[in-house]
Order: sequence, then C-alpha cells, then structure tokens
Amino acid sequence: MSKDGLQLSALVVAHNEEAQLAARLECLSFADETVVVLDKCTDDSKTVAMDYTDRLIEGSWERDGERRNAGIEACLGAWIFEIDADERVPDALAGEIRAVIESPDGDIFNIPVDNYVGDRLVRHGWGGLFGKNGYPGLFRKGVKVWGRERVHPHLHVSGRQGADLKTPISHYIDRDISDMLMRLDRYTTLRALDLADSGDIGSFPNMVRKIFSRFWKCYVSRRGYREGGHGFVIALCAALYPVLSHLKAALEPAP
Amino acid sequence: MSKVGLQLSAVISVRNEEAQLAECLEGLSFADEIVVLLDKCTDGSGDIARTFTDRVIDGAWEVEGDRRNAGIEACRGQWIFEIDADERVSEALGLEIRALISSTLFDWHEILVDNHIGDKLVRWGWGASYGKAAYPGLFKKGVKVWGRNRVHPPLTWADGAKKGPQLENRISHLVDRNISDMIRRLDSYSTARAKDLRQSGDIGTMGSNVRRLFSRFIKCYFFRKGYREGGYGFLIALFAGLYPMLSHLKATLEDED
Repeated sequence: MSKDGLQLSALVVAHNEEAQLAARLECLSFADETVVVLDKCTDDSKTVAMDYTDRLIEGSWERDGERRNAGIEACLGAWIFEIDADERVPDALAGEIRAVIESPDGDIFNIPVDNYVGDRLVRHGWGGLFGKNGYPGLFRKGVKVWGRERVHPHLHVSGRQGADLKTPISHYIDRDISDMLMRLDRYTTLRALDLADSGDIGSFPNMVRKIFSRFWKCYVSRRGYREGGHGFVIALCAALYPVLSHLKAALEPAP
Repeated sequence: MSKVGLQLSAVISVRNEEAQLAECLEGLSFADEIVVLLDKCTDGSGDIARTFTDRVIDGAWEVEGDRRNAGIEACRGQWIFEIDADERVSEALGLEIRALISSTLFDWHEILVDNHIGDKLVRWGWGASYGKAAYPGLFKKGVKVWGRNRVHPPLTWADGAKKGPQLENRISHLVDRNISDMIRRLDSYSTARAKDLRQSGDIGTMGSNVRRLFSRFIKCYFFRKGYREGGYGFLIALFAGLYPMLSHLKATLEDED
C-alpha cells in the first residue's frame, strides 16, 4: 500500500482562490491528508491552505491535465478524491466516500454533481462540454491519468469502474448568466489553442450543424427545458462552444 | 446664434479610455471646440483630455442617454459632431464635415461607419442593436435629443428637422479587438438592456424572443450581407440574434444587484 499507510488523500487544485479556499478545505477533514496544488497563485491562497495542511505543491502549469497529474502524483493515500475550486462536499458524501473505500467494488467511482447557478440548483440539461452531471472523482492511486489538452483533458483510466456514488457533490458553477458567457469565452479560447495544436480545426458547416445537434441534446434529450431559462442558456452555450472554438482558431491565430 | 460664434463643436463622452483617447482627440482639430465628458473616470483620461481642450466636464451619469444629452448641452457651436473614444476621424472626413456645414440646407446628416474587428475591416452584416453601419453624428444644436435608456437610447428629433444626405467619407470604428471582445460586449449590452426591461415593466416573452433570434440573424447575415464577411459576419448575426433573448432571460432570472 502507500508509504505512510494513508488510506485517503483529498486533492484540490487552486489558482488564486483565497476567497473560497478555506470553505473548501474545511469540508475535507474526513480525508487522511489534503494535498493542495497552488498554480501561479499571487494572492493569499498559500497562507489560507497552510492553516489546513502542510502538503502544498507550488508551481506553474500551462495545462490543466499536467497540473492535475502533478497533484495526483503527490498524493500519499491509496485512494484519491479529487475536487474542484468551486465544489463543496456535503457531510453525507464524506461518509459515503469513507464507506465505499472500506469495501470497494471497483477502482474508480463516479460522483454525481449538483450544479448551482447562483443559489438555484439546476439539475437538467448539462453536457456538451459545458458542464458535468458527474465525474470520476474517487479512484485508487495509479488508475487515472489526465491528458494534455488545455480544456476538458481526456482521461486515461485503467481500473475497474465501480457503482456510482449516491450523494452529489455541490458545484457552484456560475453566479449568473454573465458568468456562463465568460466561461464560454474562456473555454472556447483554450479549445481554439488545442484545435490549432492538433492541426485539424474542423469545418465551419460541421460546426454550424453542431449548434443544432448540441442544443437538442442538452435542451431536449437531457431535459434542459425543465429548468426554464437557465436550461435554455446552458443548451445555448453548449451549442455555441464548437463553432466559437472553431472560429477563434480559424480567424485569430494565437499570439 | 451661439454665444461665442463657434460654428462646430466635437463632443465625446469617455469612461476610462486613457489608452485610446489621445489618438481619437488628435483627429478632432478640425472642430472649433472639443467638449469631453468624463464619466466616472478613475484613470488618466482627464489629464489627456485637458492637453487637447479646456472644455472638460467631470461627472457621473447612470444612464447613457442622460450623459450624451449633457455633452450636447455643453456644446457652444451651431453644429455638433458626436464621436466615441474608439472611433477615428480621417483628415478627409474632417474637411468634408467643415465643407458640408457651411453649405448644407439640412439639419442633420448620417455618417457611415467602417467597423474593425482587430485589424480586419468588417463592412457587412452590422445592425440589430449589435453594431452600427451608420449613425446620425452630425447635427445642428437643438435638433437631437437622446432617450433615457441605458443601452441604445432612442433618439428624438425636433419637429421639422430635415435629414440631409450621408457623408461620403467614413468614420473608422474599432468595435472589438477579437471574438472574446464580441462576447463581452454581448454580455454587457444584454445586462444593461435587462435593467431597462425591468424598469419598463415589460420584459417580453420567451416565444417572441426565440423568433427574434432567427429574424435578426437572417436580417444581419442575409439581408445585410454578413455572409460576405465569413466567420465574423456569422458571429455578428448570431450575437445580434441572441441580444434580445439574453436580455430577456437576464431580466427574468436575475434581480438587480
């Protein structure tokens, strides 16, 4: 097993998150250690993190996948629980995680996500790379490796998939519609760089088709319509993501 | 006639534009006076403005129409030329304006706009409140009054004011640096528009705004020939189409902060 006989490491990646880092680390005390990756932090994130753990990894990573892999590497536990900047762990989930790794039926587990826009829980319609309903956040060390893409890195998973956990993690994804649009802008800028790197930015007509197919997928198949206006905006952003990425790659060469 | 016998005032309202203000003001020396409104400026805009003119007005305006009316009010010339900080006047346009106001029989004239996204001139497809292909920027004092909206205030013209022909030379407008700028502009326009909708008490319906998404896209992309501009034309039409819908949704789902 692992070096210090630790059973569970919690892994957090932070980039200037002093405002919400304390709340996030507070709810991770159920793990045997907390590893915090501080990526290009220029604020007080480090001071905040030091109140909770001495397992800090400081550095500068250009790509999300590499940063996450460095964090996973640093974890000493036999199991790793990975959470994001804007997520909170309810007590029930903490209990469930400890119970699952006591008698695991797999090597990697999906954790359901409750996404909030502002104060409002928005359950339906996520997807199309604009939001997630679940993610493989609990895994045995060594079974999960992140790919090198700038945005939405691919996962290389080698273990056996266990049954999904039941308690959702709370994800404060956007404060409002402006936040959604700014996130759409950031994602598509990064995606454009990935497309340019790959040498295949796709064709414009294909991306226009994707506007309609992705909108349909999120708004109808994933029942975004049940969320009213927010479901509409989510579907819209998911729909525009490919065409905006393509046009940024086509029209605006990286500096 | 006007107090000090000025023929032409150029008026500009500015909110933290130190990066581009000097270049804009340099192009305005053809006017008899330059009036600069500093709206909640916290950068060096004021210092820059004062090197070009002593007609500088400091203030804070919540509503764009009010701000523009205050600028017009402060002008002493018989004719007013209205310009924004991200616009540039060529020497040819300056000469044309001077020649026109000494001979015209009309009360106001439209100026055509050359819109640039980054270095690219994008001529086709603008409109539907997401960009302008022309604007009524040259007018006699007293004939034009802005409405009280936060974004895209409507204009009221004095009774009997006569519209003359468009000018031949175009003003150059750096509307966006890139697609990210276009997205941010869509966001800020729709946030401001949502406030206007809330205040008016009529925020419209989802159904009519879905229809407008398509009708505005078609207007910009096909009728105004946005398709001739390739990808940028597509985005202009798309964002012009999304503007009413996003404004409606922000007004419906989000409270005033």
